Amino acid sequence: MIIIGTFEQSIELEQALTVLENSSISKDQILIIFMDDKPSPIQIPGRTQNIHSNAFEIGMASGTGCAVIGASVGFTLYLGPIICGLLGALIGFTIGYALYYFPNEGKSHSKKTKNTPEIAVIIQCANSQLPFIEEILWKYQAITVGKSN
Amino acid sequence: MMNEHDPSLAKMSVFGITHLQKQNPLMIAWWSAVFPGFGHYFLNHYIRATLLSLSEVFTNTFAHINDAMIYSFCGKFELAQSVVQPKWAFGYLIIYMITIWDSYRLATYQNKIYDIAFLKNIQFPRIGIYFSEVQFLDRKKPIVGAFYSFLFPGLGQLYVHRFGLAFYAMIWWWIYLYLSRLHESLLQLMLGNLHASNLILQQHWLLFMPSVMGGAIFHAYTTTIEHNKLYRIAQRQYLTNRYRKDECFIFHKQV
Repeated sequence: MIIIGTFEQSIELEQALTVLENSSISKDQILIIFMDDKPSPIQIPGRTQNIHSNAFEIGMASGTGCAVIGASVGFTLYLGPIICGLLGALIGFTIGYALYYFPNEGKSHSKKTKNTPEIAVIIQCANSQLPFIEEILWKYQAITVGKSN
Repeated sequence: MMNEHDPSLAKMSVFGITHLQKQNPLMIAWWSAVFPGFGHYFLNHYIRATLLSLSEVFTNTFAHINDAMIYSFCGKFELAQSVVQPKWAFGYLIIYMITIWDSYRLATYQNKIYDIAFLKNIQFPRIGIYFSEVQFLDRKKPIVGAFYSFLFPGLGQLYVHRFGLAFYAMIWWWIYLYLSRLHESLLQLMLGNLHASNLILQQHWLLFMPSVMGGAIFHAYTTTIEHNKLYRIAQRQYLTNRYRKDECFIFHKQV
C-alpha cells in the first residue's frame, strides 16, 4: 500500500517522521519529495518573490529617512516633532512602497495561499499499518493525505 | 578557491544564528547613512556594528550633529553653524562617510560568497544546545518581528533569537526614552496638551529615535525572512540526506 501526505516544511513534519520510525516503519519505506514553486521566467528584484514584502522593505527605508526629517522640521511647526515625525514616516513609507510596487506590479504573480504543500511524504506499508500512519500524518499537521486502495 | 573550509550559509552560536544573505549594497549603504553601524548589523557583523553604533552616539553627541541637523532642516543655518563643534565634527564626518562605503563594499563581496555557499550547499546545524542557551532555526512571521520592534526596539531581535543585540537595543532605547522624554511628551499629547508636549522633548536625543526604530524594524523583518529561507534549506539538506534512495520504484514491474 502507498500513503502520501503533503506538508509545509515544519518541525511537525519531522515529529511525524520520527514517530513513524519509532513504530514499525523503517526509513527505507519512506520517500521524501520536495515540491518546488512554479519556475517563472520573470523574477521581481528583491529578497522574496512576494511584491508586498519587498515593497515593505523599501517603504521602511524611506519611511525612516522621512521620519527623521519630519521630526526635525517639527520643532518649528505648530504640530510638533512627534506628530510631524509620524506623518513623515507615513508619507515616506507610502512613497517607498509605491515606488517599488507599481513598477513591479505586472511582473509579480505570486499567489501564495495559506498552506502551500512544500513536501510530499510517500510511505510504503502493509495494509494493517495504514490507519495508524494516516492518524499520525493528520496529527502532525499534514495538509492533505491520500492512499492507494 | 576560498579557503580549505568551504563556507556554509549559516553558523550557530550561543548568541544565535550568524548567516550569509543576499543584500542590496545600496540598501546597506543607505542604512549606514541613517545610523552608522546599522548596515554592518544587516550583514551580520555584530561586533563591529556595535562598536560603530557606540562611536556614532558618542561623537554625534560631542559634535552636536543632531542639533545641527535639526537647525539645518528648519532653515536656521547660522544656528546650525554655531552649534557644531569642529573639534569633533571633522572626525565624525570622515568616519561617517567611510562607514557607508565600507558597508557597501562588504555587501558586494558577501553577495558573492553567498552565491558560492548556496551552490556548494554544505549542511549547517539547525539546533545548538549550549551551557546557557538553546538556539534553533524555526519558521517565523516577518510582520510579527517588525511589530515587536515597533513597540520597543530590541523585542523583534529577541523574536529572531539574537538576544545580545536585543538587550543592547533595549538598553539604548531606555536611555533615549529617558533623555528625550518621549513617553512623557506622548502622555501630554494624549491628554491634548500639544504645546506642553512639544516643550518637554529634548531634540538631540529624540533625533536618534526614528532611525533606531526604523533600523530595528527592518532588521527584525528581514532577519525573519532569511531565517525562514535557511530553515527550508537546512531541513531539505537533512531530509534529503536521511531518506536518500539509490533506486526507487513505486511500481515494481518495469513499464
